[in-house]
Amino acid sequence: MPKGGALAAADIVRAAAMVAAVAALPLVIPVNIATEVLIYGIFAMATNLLVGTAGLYSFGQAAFFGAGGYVAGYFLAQGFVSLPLALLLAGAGGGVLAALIGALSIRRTGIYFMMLTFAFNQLVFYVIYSWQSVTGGEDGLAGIRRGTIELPFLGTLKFDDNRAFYALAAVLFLVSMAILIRMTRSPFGLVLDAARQNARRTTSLGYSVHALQLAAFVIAGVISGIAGALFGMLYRIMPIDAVHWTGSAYVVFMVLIGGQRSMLGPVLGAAIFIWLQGLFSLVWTRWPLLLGLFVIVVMIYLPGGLLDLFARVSAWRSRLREQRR
Amino acid sequence: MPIAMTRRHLMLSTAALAAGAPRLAWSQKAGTVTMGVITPTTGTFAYAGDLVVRGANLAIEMHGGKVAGHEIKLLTRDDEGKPASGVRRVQEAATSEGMRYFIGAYSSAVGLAESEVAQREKLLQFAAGGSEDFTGSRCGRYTFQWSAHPYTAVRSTLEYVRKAFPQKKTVYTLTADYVFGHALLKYTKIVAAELGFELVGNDNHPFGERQYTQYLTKVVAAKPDILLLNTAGADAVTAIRQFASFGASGIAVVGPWTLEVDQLPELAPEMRTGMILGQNYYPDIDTPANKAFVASYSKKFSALPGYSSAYGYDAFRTVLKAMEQAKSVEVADVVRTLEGMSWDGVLGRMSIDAKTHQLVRPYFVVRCKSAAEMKSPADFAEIVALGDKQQPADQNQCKGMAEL
Repeated sequence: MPKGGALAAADIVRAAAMVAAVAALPLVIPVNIATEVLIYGIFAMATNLLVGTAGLYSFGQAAFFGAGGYVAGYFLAQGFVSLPLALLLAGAGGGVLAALIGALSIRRTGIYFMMLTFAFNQLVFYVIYSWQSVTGGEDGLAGIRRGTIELPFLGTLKFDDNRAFYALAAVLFLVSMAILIRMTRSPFGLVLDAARQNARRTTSLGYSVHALQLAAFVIAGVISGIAGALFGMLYRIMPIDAVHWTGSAYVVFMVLIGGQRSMLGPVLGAAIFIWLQGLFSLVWTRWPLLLGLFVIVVMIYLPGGLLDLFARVSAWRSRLREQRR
Repeated sequence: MPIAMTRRHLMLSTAALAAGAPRLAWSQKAGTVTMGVITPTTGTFAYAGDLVVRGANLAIEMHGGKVAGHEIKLLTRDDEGKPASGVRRVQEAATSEGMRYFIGAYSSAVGLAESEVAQREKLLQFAAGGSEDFTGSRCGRYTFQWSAHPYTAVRSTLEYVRKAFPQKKTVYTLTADYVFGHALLKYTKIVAAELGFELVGNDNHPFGERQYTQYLTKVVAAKPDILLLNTAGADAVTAIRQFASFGASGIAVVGPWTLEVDQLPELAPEMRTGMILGQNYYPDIDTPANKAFVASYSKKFSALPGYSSAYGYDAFRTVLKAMEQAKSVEVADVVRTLEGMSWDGVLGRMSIDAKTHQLVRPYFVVRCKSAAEMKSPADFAEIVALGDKQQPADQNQCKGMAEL
């Protein structure tokens, strides 16, 4: 944990750089795609709390993303407009579902945990698929409106403009990032980290590992639910494939491509994943092959993700500079 | 866990993020109109995507590459058959490339999702697919529907059966258990009442079913005059193959929207013989526009066009025609022109219902030929009837069109 003036100053610089990067993003890519990058960034950071910190390889995160999106979407499609309430409901939807699924699967480890989360994801998918009167089934939930925020003295904040909606996503993104970083540095995060390395030993030290892992699972569910709500509002539709298990696999890919050792990694992974898909699909009609190849190369040569590449490049450059001296 | 290892490290990452981003928005040049084909080229429907692109390309080529004094730029994007990817591609193509017109979703779910973006961004979408929601509960001013309405499909097909086989009265339906199948079943009930058929039974089967004998045994035991297949694609192919082995030759197989011409080769001629099928498109259609299309298509690709190519071709041809008539490539002008347009298209005399944006067009009923009757390997069937009866207005759920 960073302590003292110098390190705190470095933290402030990092935070300022992050805010600047988020502010500059819509200037370089279309604003809706930038919003999508931030939304998947939130989703990937929440997943990284499980994958990177707690070592829980959940392949069911799309269920919580979808639950949040459908709950908030249904609420907003019914004519309600309160955005804080919609986000609250989305977080609650993702969290409650995560508590249910987590309670049933957290005690299983490794492949069993993966398969259980995967199976629950499919269960949620088929419930949404067949509950057509509420969810729109195969055709997705349409008619979602972007909620508004009522502020005393300032009036009503509306998000129909895409730049305003980006600002909303950016604020939620930065807040989620701050919360998640703070969480991973807290005793709670350190115990999760310890349990990832050696669960038995952590238990024998007196920590109730399963309870803490379940808490992490629920927190990731809440944040994923909020990301899902933003996604539903972005294109004003909640498509059924957002809850499909491939969505769960993609978000784990994002974490692995970017790097699990920090919260910036998953965000980078989300940005690259969304951008690369678009780029490759222009280059060649059999583009999933290229994407697969890219993932394999990263897995083999950069086990720490793309952040690892930057770390290596800067290490190599400083070595070069020292040699010159 | 730090946000990044060092400051330089963070800056490098940020720079990489920025450098990696696609080009700046709005590359639409003056004097160019950008039209898109957003279609699946990967995933389950990948085969259809390439065919839609072929048709669209041919329409532009035969129009001379220019429209109303503007160069036509064609974009193609992969929707992967997924709604979330479809909306992203449409949004991206509209903001970065200035795309204002698009066609192409093969799955209704993708098309309906894209329709939300079309209304917001004021893009003209010429959709196709089996969902009645395009022109019903989710209708929109910027979305037009090329495929016939499920009502038209069921009505045209059963109307022919009523005329050709007046003694056949009882119908057993086999229905795909998802939105499309349910829509067909709903209209089967309505049309059966209109035409005096008796529905003696129905079975729902899940999407992707491989084993139909449990349903077909019930069908044969009920001894209906007609087995009506309210199912489509690979499911229908499997069901027909298995039904052929029952040898129940007294039961006529009828499909209102079951197999498009693209899928007929998947069945052996003896399995197809005598089957009555409704078709959105058939290469034998006797119109000058279709003859020109089939001639150029077969010259270029050494094959006959099917549903997907015809959709790509006719949808683009229609939009280009509307642009010429409006003398403008502005979306609002083209929407208004289309709403009042009536023209000779590939399918026959066509117009747009301004209230729903349904293309008013003939629907084709074909009877499949036996092996002996076939003049060439692609001579599957003959057109025996045309129907264009539109969905009754009181059943339509479109709540009116928005202002442009």
